[in-house]
Amino acid sequence: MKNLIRDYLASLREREELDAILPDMLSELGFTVISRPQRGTRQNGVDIAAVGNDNDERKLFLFSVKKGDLNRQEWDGTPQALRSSLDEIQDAYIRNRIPEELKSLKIVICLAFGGDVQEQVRELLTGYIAKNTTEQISFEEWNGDTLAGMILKGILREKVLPKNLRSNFRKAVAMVDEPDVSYQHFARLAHELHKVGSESDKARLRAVRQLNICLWILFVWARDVDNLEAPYRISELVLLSVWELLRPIIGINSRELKALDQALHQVIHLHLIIALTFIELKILPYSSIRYGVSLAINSQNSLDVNLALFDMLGRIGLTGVWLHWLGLQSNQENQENIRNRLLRLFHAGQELIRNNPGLRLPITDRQGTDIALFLQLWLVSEDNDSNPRVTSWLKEMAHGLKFSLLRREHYPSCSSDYRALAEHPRDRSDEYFQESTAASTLIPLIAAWLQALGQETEVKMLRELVRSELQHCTLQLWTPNAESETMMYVGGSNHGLALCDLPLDDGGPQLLATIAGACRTDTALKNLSPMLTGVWPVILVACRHHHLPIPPGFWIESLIPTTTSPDEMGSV
Amino acid sequence: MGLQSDPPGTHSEPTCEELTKLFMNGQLATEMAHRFNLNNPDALRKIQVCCAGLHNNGTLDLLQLIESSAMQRLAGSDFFMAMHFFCDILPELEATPERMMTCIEALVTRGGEDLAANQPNGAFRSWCQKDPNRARKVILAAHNGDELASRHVAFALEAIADIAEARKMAITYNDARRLAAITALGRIHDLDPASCAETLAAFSTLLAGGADDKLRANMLRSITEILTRNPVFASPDAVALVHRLVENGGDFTIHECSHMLWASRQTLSPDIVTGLLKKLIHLNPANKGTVNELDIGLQSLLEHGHEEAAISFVTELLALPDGSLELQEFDSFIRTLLDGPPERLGRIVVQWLLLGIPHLCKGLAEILQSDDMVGPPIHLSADQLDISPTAQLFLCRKAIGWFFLKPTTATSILVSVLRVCDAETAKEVQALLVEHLLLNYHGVREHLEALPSDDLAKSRVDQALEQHNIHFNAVRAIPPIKELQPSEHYRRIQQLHWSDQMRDAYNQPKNQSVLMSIVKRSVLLYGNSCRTFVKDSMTNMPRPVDIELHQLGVSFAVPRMEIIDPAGLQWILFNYKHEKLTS
Repeated sequence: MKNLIRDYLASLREREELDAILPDMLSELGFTVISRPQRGTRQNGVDIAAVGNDNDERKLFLFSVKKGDLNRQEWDGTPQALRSSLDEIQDAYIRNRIPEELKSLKIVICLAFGGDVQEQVRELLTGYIAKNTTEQISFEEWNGDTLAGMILKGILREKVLPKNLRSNFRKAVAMVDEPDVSYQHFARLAHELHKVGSESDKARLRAVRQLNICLWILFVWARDVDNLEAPYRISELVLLSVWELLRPIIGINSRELKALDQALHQVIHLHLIIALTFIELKILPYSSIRYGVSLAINSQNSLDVNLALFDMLGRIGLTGVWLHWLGLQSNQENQENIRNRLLRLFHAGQELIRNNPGLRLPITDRQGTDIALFLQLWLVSEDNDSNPRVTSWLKEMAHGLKFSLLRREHYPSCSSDYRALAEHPRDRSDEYFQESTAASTLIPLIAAWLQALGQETEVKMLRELVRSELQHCTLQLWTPNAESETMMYVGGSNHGLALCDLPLDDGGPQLLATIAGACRTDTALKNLSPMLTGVWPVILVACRHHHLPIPPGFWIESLIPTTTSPDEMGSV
Repeated sequence: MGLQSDPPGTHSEPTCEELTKLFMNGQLATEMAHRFNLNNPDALRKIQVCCAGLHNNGTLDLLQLIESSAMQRLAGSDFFMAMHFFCDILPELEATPERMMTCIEALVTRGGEDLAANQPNGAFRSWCQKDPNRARKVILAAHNGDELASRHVAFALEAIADIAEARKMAITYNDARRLAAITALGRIHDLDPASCAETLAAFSTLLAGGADDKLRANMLRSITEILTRNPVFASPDAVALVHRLVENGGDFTIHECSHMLWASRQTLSPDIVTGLLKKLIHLNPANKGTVNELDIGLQSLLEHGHEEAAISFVTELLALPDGSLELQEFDSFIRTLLDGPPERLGRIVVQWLLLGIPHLCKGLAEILQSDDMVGPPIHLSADQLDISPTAQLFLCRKAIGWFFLKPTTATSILVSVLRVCDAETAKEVQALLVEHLLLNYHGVREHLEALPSDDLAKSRVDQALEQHNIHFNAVRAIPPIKELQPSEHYRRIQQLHWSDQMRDAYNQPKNQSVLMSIVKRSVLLYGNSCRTFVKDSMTNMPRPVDIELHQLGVSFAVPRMEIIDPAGLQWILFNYKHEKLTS
C-alpha cells in the first residue's frame, strides 16, 4: 500500500496536485490548517501553514510544496525554485505574515515534495539547512516516502480504512485499465466509507477526505496508464457519495458542514480536472477530424461506436454545465475565462457531432440523457450563433428516427441492456418492434426542442410518425418525486415520476405547454437538496451516472416562448 | 436363381423359363427395375426379346404387370427403371388398342409430374407405327367418340402421319379430338409448302370460328413445330396467323409464346419476336413454367441477333410498377449477358442505372458477382457515357447506391466517368469516390493504385487518392482512445453474438441444401486427407478412395461506415438508390 501511495506521490504532475491532498492529510494527523494553498498565488513562499505537535510541543509548520523529485533546477535558479521560496519564508513570511497569537511558536519549515532529493542537490540542501537552522527555526524534509507514511498513518490508517477496504482500493487501482472492474471495487469502498461516515459528523468528514484522496491516487495512476475511464466514472460516484454524506447536515450550522463544503468543492474540482483532462486531451484535438473519434473507438461494432459517441457528448455537456456553475461562483475575470473555456467545449461538441455522424441517431432511448446534457450546455452557453447547427442536428435526428423506424433498422430501442442492443433489431416482426419501442423519452425531448426552435414541419413529421407507427409507444419524460431525495445520489434509479402520454398528437405548442405546466406544479425537483443549496449540477451528475433522463424542469422554461398565450397554457 | 445374392455382372441372363417363373412368382416387375442385375445391353435386349416372345405366344401376359398394379407399386426410381425396360418391349407386344391404351394411361398417371412420365406415350406411338392397323383402330374409335381413344388419337395420327385425317378431325370436332389433331399436325412432317399452307389455312378457319386460349395455344405450339422443322415455310401468312393467334390469348398462349421464342429461334423474324414479346409482357409471374421458358427464350434471342428486343423487353417487364418478377429468375438470360461482350453489359448497366428502376438495379447488383465478393469491374466506354454531366453524376450515385457492397464494380463505373467527364463533374465524382468508396474499403485504394499510368482517369484518380491520404493520415495519427473502447465484457457479448450469427449462417444453407440431403456427410477430426472405402458396383467389394482435403472459406470486407454510422449509411444509400433523374 505504501508503495502504491509513494508511486502516486511521485507521479503528481503539478504542485497543485500535491497541494490538494496535503491539508486533508495534515488535518487527519491532528494539525490545524490555518492557511490553504490558493491557485496561482503563494504567500511569500508558504503554500500551507498549519499548527501541530512535534515532540509534544506546539509548533508552526510552514510548507513549501514541490512536485516530483527535487533536482538542481527545482532547488535553485528560478524565482519558483525551492531555495527562493525558503528565503522568502524567512525574509518575508516569518517577519510579516505570522498571526500575532502564533508568533511565540517555534517554526518548522517543511520542504514537501512527491519524490526524492536527487543526489546532486543533497549536499546543497543539507548545507542550506545547517546554515539557516536556529533555535527558533528548524527544517524538515517531507519527501514522497515520508508523505506516503503519513497518509498511511493518518487519513488511510488501518483503523479508519480496514484491510478489506484497502484491498478494494488496491484492486481498484490495479485494475484501472479495466474500468468496469475498477469501478466495482471502488464502488464497494465508497459504499463502506459511506456507511462508516454516517456514524458521526467527524467520521463523515473523514470519509469524504478519504474518498477524495483515494480518487486522487486512482486518477494519478490511471493517468500514468493513459486510461481515464475508471477515474471519470468513479469521480461521479465519489461526487454523489460525498453529496449523500453531506446531505443530512445541510442547514445545520456546524464546523463540519463548512469543512464538508470545502471537501465537496475539492471533489467537484477533482471531478472537473479528470473530465477536462480527458475531454481536452483525448477528444477535442480530434473532434475536427472527419470520423476521427469514431475510428479511435477501435471497435468492429457499430453499437460500441454509438454508445461511446453519445457518452462522450453527455460528458462534454455535463462538464460544460459544471464550468458554467463554477463561473457563477467566480469573480468577473475568472467568469470570462471560464466562459471561453465553456464555449470552446461546446463548439468542440458541435464539431464532434458534425464529424461523427453516428451522433445523429442514438441506438437506445437512454441516450436521450446525453442529448439533453449537451442541449443543456447550449442553453447555459447562451451561444445563439449556434442555433442553426443545433437545429440542424435535431432535425437530422428526427428524420433519422423516422427513416430507421419505418425500415425497422437501427432505430432506438427502449432497452438499455447491452446484449439486447447487440442483437437489435432481432427481427422485423411487429411483436419485436412494439416491444423495442414500447416507450420513449427521446421523441418528446426532440419534439419539444424542435418546437422551441420553430421547426414545426419536423414536429408534425414526428407526430405523424407516432400516429402511424408508434401508437403503442408511451411518450414520456422523467422528473424526480418525493422519494428521489433519498434515492437519487447513491440509491440507483428506481424512483421519480414518469410524465406519461405527453400530447404530441395535439401539436408541439401543446406538448411544450403540458411539460411546462407539469414542471411548474411539481415541487420535488425544486426541493432536492442540490437545488436548495445551489449545487444543482449534482442532479445532472446523478441522472447521467444512474442513466436517468434529465428532468424537463432544467430546460423547459428556456423553451417556452415568453409570449405564450394564456390559452396555450390554460389547458394544463 | 440366386439373382439377389450374386454380385452384379457376374452371371448370365435368365432363360425364358426363368423369366416365366419370375412372372409367376410376381417378381418380374422388381427384376425389371433391377435390370436383372445385368449391365450388358445385349443381354438385356435378349431378355426383352424373350419377354415379348413369351407374351406373344401366350406363355405369360406382360400387360398384367400393369393391370395388377405390380409395376405401379414399385417405389421411386424402381418404377421408372422398370417402366423404361417395359417401354422398350411394348411396341412388340400383341394386344388390343383399348387394352394397350389403358395400360399406357396407367403408366403415365403413375409417372406423375416426372419428366420421364410421358415415355409410355412414345412407346405407344411406336406400337402404332409397328402396325398401322392399330393406329387406324384408335382413330376409328376416336371418331366413334371413345374417350380413351380420343386421348390417344394424336399418337395414332402421328404414327401413320395421316395429315389429312388430322386436319379433318381438327375442323370437324370441337372437343379433345380437335386438340389432339392439332397436336398431331404439329408433329407430322409437311412434305411441301402447299401442305403447310393447308394446315395453316385450317388453323385460320378454326381461329375465325372463335378460339379459346387453349386452342390458340395448341395451334401456336403446332405452328412452332412446323416452322422449326421447315423455316422456309415461314410465309407472311404464317407470321400473320401467329400475330392473330397471340393477340387475344391467355396464359396458355403466353406460355406458348415463351416456348416459341427458343424453339423456333432459327426462324424468328423481328416481326414475330416483337409480337411474341408484346404478348409476353402480360405474363403471370406466378406461372413459373412460363417464366422458365421465357428465360430460355430470352437467352436464345440474345444469341440469335435479337438482343435489343430481349433487353428492352426485360427492361420493360421488370419496370412494371406492380411486377413481382426478379431479374434472377432469368438465369440463362443473365448468364448469356454476363458471358457476352462487355460492351453490351456496359450498355445495359448505364441504361438501367439511368432509368433507376429499383427492380432492374437490384437485379443488376445481385447478378454482378465475383469470386472475391467485391464485384467485377465494369468498363463503360465514352460512347456509353455520352450523357449530360448531371446524368453522369446521377449514374455515379446510382452505382454507389446499388453496388455499394461490390466496391470494385462501383469504383470501376466512377473511374469510367472520370475518364470522360468535364472538370467540374470530376470534382464531384472524386468526392463520391473518396467519401463513399475509399473511406469504406481498403481494397478500393489498391484497385485504384493499380490503374495503368496511361489510363485517361489516372490523374483524376490520383487526386482522389491524395485527398483520401490526407484524411487517412489524419485519422491514423489519432492514438487509440482507451476510454472509448468497449469493455472486455462487452467484447465477449459481441463475440458470442458473432459466433451465433456465423453458426446460423453456416447451418441455414446446409439445412436447405438439396445436395446435403443426397450425400453422406463425414466429419474428420484429424488429418488433411482421408481414405474411404466404397463398394465397387462391378465386384461388390470395398475399394479404397483417397481424398485430399483443402480449405474452403469466404471472406468479405465490412464497409467502415457500417461500423461508424450504419443508420446514416442506410439513409445515404437509400437516397442514392431512389433518387430520380431530373431533366
